[in-house]
Amino acid sequence: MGAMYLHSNRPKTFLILGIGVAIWLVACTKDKPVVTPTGPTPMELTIPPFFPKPYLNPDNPLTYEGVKLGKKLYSDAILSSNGLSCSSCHNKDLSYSTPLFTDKNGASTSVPPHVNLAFNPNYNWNGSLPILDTLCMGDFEPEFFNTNRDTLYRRLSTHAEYPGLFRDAFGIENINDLEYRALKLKICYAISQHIRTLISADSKFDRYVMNTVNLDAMETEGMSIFFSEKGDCFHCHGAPLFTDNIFHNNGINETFTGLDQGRFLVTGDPKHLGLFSSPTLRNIEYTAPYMHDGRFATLEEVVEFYNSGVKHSETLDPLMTKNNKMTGLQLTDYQKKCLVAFLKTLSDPVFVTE
Amino acid sequence: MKPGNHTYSSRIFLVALSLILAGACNKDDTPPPAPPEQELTIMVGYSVDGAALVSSDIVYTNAAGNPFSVYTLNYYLSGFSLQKMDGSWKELYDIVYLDAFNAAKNTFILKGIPAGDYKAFKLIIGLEPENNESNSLPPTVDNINMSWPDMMGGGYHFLKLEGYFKDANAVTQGYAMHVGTNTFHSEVVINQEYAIYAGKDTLKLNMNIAEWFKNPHTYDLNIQGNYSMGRDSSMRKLSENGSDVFTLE
Repeated sequence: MGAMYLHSNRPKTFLILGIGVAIWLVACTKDKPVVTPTGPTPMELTIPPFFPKPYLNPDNPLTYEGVKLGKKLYSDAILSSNGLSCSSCHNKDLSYSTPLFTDKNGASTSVPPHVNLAFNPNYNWNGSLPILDTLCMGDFEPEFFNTNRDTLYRRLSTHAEYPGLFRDAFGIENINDLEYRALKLKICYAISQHIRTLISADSKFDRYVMNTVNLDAMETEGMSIFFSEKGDCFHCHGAPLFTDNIFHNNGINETFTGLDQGRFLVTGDPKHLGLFSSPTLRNIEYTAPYMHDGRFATLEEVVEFYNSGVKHSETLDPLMTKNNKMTGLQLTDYQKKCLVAFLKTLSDPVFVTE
Repeated sequence: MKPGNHTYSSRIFLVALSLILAGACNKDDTPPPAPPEQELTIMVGYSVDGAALVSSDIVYTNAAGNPFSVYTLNYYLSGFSLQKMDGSWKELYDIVYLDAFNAAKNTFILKGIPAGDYKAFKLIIGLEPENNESNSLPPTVDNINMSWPDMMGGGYHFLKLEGYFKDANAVTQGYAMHVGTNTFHSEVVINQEYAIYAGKDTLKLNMNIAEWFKNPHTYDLNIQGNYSMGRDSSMRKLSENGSDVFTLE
């Protein structure tokens, strides 16, 4: 009876979406190369159904060779003098995230996961970087890789594989001929190409949409809360990206100092105090702790915050000042558990293992 | 060859020639070619009871006396139609997403418009039921963020009007006027004569945002509530108020 109920009431959109996802999965054996006479081979991302077009940079076209180089660099400490690589803080098992990063001032930040970034128009919690291709330029600094310029040139140019990989990806015959900034830029270009291929769209929710699995009763109840005014999660975390990529003050602070100032640190506009980019909820199960400063250790704490802990301020997002939110969502303990259960259906185990 | 046969052949020739000429005359009677079609550029501007639109500052007062600001204004226009001088309507099938605070999202082009004189312009704020199906619009970031959950009827938000206001205790609160769901689109008819021809192919629309809160319904954010989504009575009022938010400049 329960299964029939779920099927018979499944929204029509999800069925349409499911057909599209099925087609996508069949087509997604791997992106098919386009043969060109010379140079790197253009790669075309296979976009999951109902995802928007990715943000691509014509100055850094996606190629198989570029992605290959970027993937190798992403996990290689060759870029650093301290043994760190991108994957040190962007662990695949954690949806290319890590619990917390503590900066030189002692402020902790929850590390945003590298998932579906091809569809993001801005990066970092406060949107300080608008271009993915140069996202990791700052990682060469002492705070992160503490890269030694001469060592980097020597390691790359004498490496058994990198000279060939750079030549194949960018036509660079001799790494040592590049200016330092140009070398770093090419490294970032390659890594950003790899990051653009990190697309997650095979969660239990996606499979539910394609009608190959059912959600259980708690997950279904959680979905109803999520996609209705009861929980009103969908405005900032709507499908299929589960982020609107817009800046909001969600009410975690009443006053704002340090990193809590959020978008204000980028724009200087007082109206942007406490605003942060909505994170995607895809793979949220793997990316604890939560909020920009990692103040909540569990999804249960997050749900309880939205249920009863929203704080008022002048910049609190209009969506957060709806009558029901300021007085709490009034969720029962069971409903809170249901909401958490639904959030876990957004986990994509294949994405974090293969 | 007998002379009689020759005469007979000549008669047949003359009849055939007459028919051909008659046919040619009929072609001359066909209507003149349709006037060339124009592209019409629509430029949308915004004001609040005559004041320029600025983002976020609480500097406006609505008809109910609520001091308010405008922070977000996203909406769809569709169902465009131009009324010719003979009273007939030229329908144009376009759906356009607009964002008041994004200059690139406030100008659009309607194509296939016969040059000529018109006396009225009709449009819809939102989507008509046949276009208000979930995932029916191209999956752009804009369209995704305008999705209206299936749990609440599906389709798209027709309007997102958000900002802040001073409540009855002079405390800053947010408001979110969201309208969606079939039948809650706003029908706008602007009765004003204008000509469209080469070199004169731009119309300027102005939305008076204050009109969302008045005419015919005075919308008090302290009484009606600061959000509308899922509340039919609120969405209906906003929908009806929306019918006169636009003027043609």
